[in-house]
Amino acid sequence: MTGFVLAPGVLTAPLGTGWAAYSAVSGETHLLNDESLAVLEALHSDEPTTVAELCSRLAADHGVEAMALATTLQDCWRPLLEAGLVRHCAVPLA
Amino acid sequence: MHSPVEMPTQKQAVRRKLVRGAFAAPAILTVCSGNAIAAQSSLRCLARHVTDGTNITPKVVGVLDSWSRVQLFKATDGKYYVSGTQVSLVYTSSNSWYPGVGNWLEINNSTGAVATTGAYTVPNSVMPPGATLTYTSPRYVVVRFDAAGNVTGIGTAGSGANVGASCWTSFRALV
Repeated sequence: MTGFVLAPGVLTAPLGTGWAAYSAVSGETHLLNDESLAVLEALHSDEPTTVAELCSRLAADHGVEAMALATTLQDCWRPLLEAGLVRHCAVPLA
Repeated sequence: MHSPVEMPTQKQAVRRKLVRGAFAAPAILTVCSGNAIAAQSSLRCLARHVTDGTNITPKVVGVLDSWSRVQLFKATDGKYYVSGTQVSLVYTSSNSWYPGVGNWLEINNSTGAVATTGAYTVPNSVMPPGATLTYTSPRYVVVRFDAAGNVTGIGTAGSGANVGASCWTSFRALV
């Protein structure tokens, strides 16, 4: 099973109606909307989170269905990975 | 700036901004560095100079030229010069664009081109003309050289130019 962790050295700051996020991994700065930042905030830097866990967490926080949220988030992982904001990793079996 | 996982107040701020019951698609836009874009543009411009035979800069066949920056010396008469001694530290060419050790090559202050053709170098004995050179408000031109170290151009524009005038505008920020 795989999940995601927050990439090391990610820095964020409010910028206008969105957020600026700097990745120490890529050396790039990105503009995020509230939803993208919410995804980053729901991840941990030292403990991988599966997509199912993340969707459950966000769904509870934002009052949406986890299944619908999984569909909404399915296209965000690749850009987040390429931006150096998250990392893909294995989730240890319980 | 701060880490999103270490700032609960920011997290709370984000969650307040999100409308409960609605979660839009996350959006990630990369902010590009203006300098990086300018560099890429300039390098493309230089690449065209050595591959486009229609450009005013002589086309180089087979081997790509390279460029480096040299600072101009300013004499008290208001004229700008390239130091042949400085150029010789790196380039050893003996062709017509090489000022030679101890000589000074005058650069037109307005055009950025070599001031005159033919006897355009000024020997050390008369340069500087009773003046002290200054580095105040440094100005630069580029030295274009081939893979063998031969100087193939000095200046910014005109005959024997290193780069075209439009290319120089962005190139001067890099060299």
